[in-house]
Amino acid sequence: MNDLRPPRLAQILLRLGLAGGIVREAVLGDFYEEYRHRHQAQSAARARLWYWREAFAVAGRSLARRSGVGGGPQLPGGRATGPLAGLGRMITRDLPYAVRNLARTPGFTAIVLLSLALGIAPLAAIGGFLNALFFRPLAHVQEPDRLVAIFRGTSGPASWPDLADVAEQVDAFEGVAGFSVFAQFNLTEGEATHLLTGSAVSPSYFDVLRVPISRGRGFRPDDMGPAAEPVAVISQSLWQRRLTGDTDVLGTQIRLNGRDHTIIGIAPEGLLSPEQPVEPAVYVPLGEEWYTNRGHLGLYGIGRLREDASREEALGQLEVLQERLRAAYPRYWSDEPGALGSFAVYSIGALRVRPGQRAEIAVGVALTLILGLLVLSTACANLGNLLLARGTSRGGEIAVRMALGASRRALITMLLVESVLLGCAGGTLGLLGAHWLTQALAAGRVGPDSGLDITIDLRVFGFTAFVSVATGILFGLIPALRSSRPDLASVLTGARTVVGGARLWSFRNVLVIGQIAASLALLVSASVVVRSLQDGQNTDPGFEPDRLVTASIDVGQRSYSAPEAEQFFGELIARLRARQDVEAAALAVDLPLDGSRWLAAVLPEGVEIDPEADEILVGENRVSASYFATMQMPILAGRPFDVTDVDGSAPVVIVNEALADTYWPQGALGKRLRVGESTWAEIAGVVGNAKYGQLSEAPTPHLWVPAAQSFSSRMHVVVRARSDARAVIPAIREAVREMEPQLPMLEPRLMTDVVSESAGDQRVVSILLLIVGAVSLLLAVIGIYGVVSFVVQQRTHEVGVRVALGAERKDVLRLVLMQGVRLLAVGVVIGLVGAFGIAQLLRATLPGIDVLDPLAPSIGTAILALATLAATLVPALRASRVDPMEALRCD
Amino acid sequence: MQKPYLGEFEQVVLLAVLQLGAEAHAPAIGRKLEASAGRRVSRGALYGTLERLENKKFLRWEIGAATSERGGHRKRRFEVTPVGVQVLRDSRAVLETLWNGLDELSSESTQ
Repeated sequence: MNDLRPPRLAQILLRLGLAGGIVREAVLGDFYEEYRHRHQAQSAARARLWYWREAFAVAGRSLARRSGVGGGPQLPGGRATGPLAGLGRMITRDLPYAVRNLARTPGFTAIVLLSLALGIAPLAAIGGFLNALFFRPLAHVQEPDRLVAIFRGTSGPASWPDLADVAEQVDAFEGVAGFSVFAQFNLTEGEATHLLTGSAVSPSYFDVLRVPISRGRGFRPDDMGPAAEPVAVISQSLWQRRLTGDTDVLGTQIRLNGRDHTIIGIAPEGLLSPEQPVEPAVYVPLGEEWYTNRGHLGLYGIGRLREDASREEALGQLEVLQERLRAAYPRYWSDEPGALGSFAVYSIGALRVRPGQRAEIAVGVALTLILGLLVLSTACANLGNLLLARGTSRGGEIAVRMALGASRRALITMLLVESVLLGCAGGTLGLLGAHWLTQALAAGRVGPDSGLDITIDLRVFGFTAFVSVATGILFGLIPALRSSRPDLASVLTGARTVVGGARLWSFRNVLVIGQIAASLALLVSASVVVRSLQDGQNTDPGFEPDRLVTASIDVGQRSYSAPEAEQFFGELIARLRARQDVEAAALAVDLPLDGSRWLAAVLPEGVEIDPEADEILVGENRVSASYFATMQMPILAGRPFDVTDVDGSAPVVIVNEALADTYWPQGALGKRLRVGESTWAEIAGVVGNAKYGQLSEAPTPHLWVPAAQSFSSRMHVVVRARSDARAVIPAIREAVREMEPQLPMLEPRLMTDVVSESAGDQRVVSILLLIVGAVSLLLAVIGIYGVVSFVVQQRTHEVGVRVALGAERKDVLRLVLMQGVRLLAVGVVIGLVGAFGIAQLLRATLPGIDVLDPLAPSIGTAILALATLAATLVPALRASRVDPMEALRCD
Repeated sequence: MQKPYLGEFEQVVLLAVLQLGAEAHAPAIGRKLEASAGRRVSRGALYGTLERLENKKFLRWEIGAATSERGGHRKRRFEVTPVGVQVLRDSRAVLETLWNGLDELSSESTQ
């Protein structure tokens, strides 16, 4: 759906440019009308382009006429009385002058704008991401100040009976709701099954959030309970996309997880979950698995405080309640340290940024902001340098103005208006770039049913505007101060002065050194990540992904009991094994490298554990017999699971080498450990290390328990084909259908795809870093070229003298090249130190990165050195061809 | 009084306003000019010219009602004043005088 309203910013521009009154109103109307006409006749993009272009033309013309500079060239920089008059002059005289002045040097303006756009776009995109992830307030939610998050422990979820007790007994809350962590729903449409993300919520959910349901109704208390008819509220986008916005959708059936649900309402557009910036496609009331089980901790609690109640009051009442609960249900409210603890209350934003994750998130935010600022600073260095060079070449004009009586302050204002204008224009382009960048990244990262919404809102716009104006002022100030202080006599008489270049630590050299350092730091971090990614792709995952195919099947929707489910899966595996093209088949709750990871708290027997320390968390998977054979994970000691490891037989586990070596270096077989709350289990075997979460990870402790000893309704089937893995997928589907015609097979995938997709996160990071590194390299090359060629131009006379006195071409060449090499050397040293710092931060977010890898800095330095030489060579060759007669006579 | 001067663009704008009659508001004038002249007309130039013609008293305007297709903004309808019509006549007369006896050239140029 296209918006027929003209671009808001351009409208503001037009409004600002035109004098008030009825004429402005009419012109705005004209533009509106023409925009809509063009929108329908041509395209949205062309209409927008037209609007912007013409708004600029009309506003600019009107501004220029109103300020009296429309007629002919006028030289600003005259009288100055009072701050307000100064501001008025800035807008009415300096601004149009700056526009025309910049338009007169399109080459300069284009390079500066390109630099700034390249510099600001990444920062604005980063701002957009951070905003969407952490800062944007929840849309549609009314009075969010009174909402709090109710956790158990620091930031853990609670059970429904807990929350129901809170709702009933804590009267500081007006209402309490719970919602599940994201749940997968299978939407069946005819033969096809789609996977949706949704949320199971308590009936009070929409009321507590005070979210108005846009059509139909929200949930009522009687929608939850054993006798309730299944109902669902769907998202606006699901309604429009899948059900084509049909107005009669209310009361119709939607098939979710094999059960028909009546659609009773449509959630407002873009209603995100309070926990993640993702829009749930469906909401259903909590199912019966939640009703009474106090151990089922999977709900995030939200409370709405009464108007006269404070958060402290709520916490006090919660503490009273939890004493009662502790007495009544000691099993779920143990006093042991490290056990799932007491209630905690935070502002609602804590659902997005968990109190326990703050440090981690701060590192991530700092890292990305540093990267963005590094790029911006290389761009700013160009801006500063180019403005300085421009100031020097405009020395004549400025001297004339001063000689005619312009005050220095007026001159500085004039120059600053120009640089701020450049900053703002560059910022606008940067925002456009950021928009494309975020859209592209969001489309690549997040699936169509769970779009992370990264629109550039007012917050990001304000951030970018601030950065742009600050850039303009900061990097325009020194050039403005410099060039408004010319040596009048020498400029007017045509005498030469050598500006910058000669001293190493002159302003312009410092800028270039900064650029070199920043781009080296970025290049090195990019190559560190890229290299560790390549290492990751070449690493052995610890199993053989070739000819392996997986699919997942959820029997939860058939309401199977545990033995029934076990029988179903056992039968399925037997059918698959019987096929000619199948070599082996097994079941697993979790797949290695598929992005999700199960962790279990373990207690190794006979190992001294510091009671103050955190619990030991180890990767866990539940698998059937022959899983290790199917995956081809080598058994190093003991035995794999077999068919005798069933529910009721002696509990056994299998551990990997890393776990065995950590606690039982002398041999783990026969030792015992406890997984979570269960009984002691004996270690029956040790298998080789593999990669479970990421390819780049170091060997991580992991354990497996027999699936038969611990029921799960959703299982991955893992099948190794004899030849072509792809050909086996229809066979799995067929086998499932023969046994349960209604049961869908989900996510059939080749294991090789799972493995390569697991590098996705790092790939995005490394692509980003490479883009950022390349951009800043480009900017640095522009900067070096600019400085060296400027200095060469300034020193033409000197070079002429040298040549006249007998200097040879190669001497001149060396003289100029040394100029670049000196800057390069200093920049490289600083850049390497910076790169080391960034790599430290990177290691904190991306495990498995080798910070001291010498190859990456060498590659980065080599690329930078080549680029610097190339940028220096052109002006150097020009200098070496200086004809002494020419240089001495005319310059 | 010095005889008022009419620029080429001013002349076509006035003619377009006359052609459009009651429909003469800025977007329509712009489209008319673009259709007949076959080139893009900058809105900046158009509004500037309209204002200039108004200052010279060749044009006047009245305000119409606001509509939703104009985003709730009101419409400005232009009209050529009697002085404007007279100026157009004069400039046509000047042109015709100058074209007199150059029929061959004008027909050749159309070939």
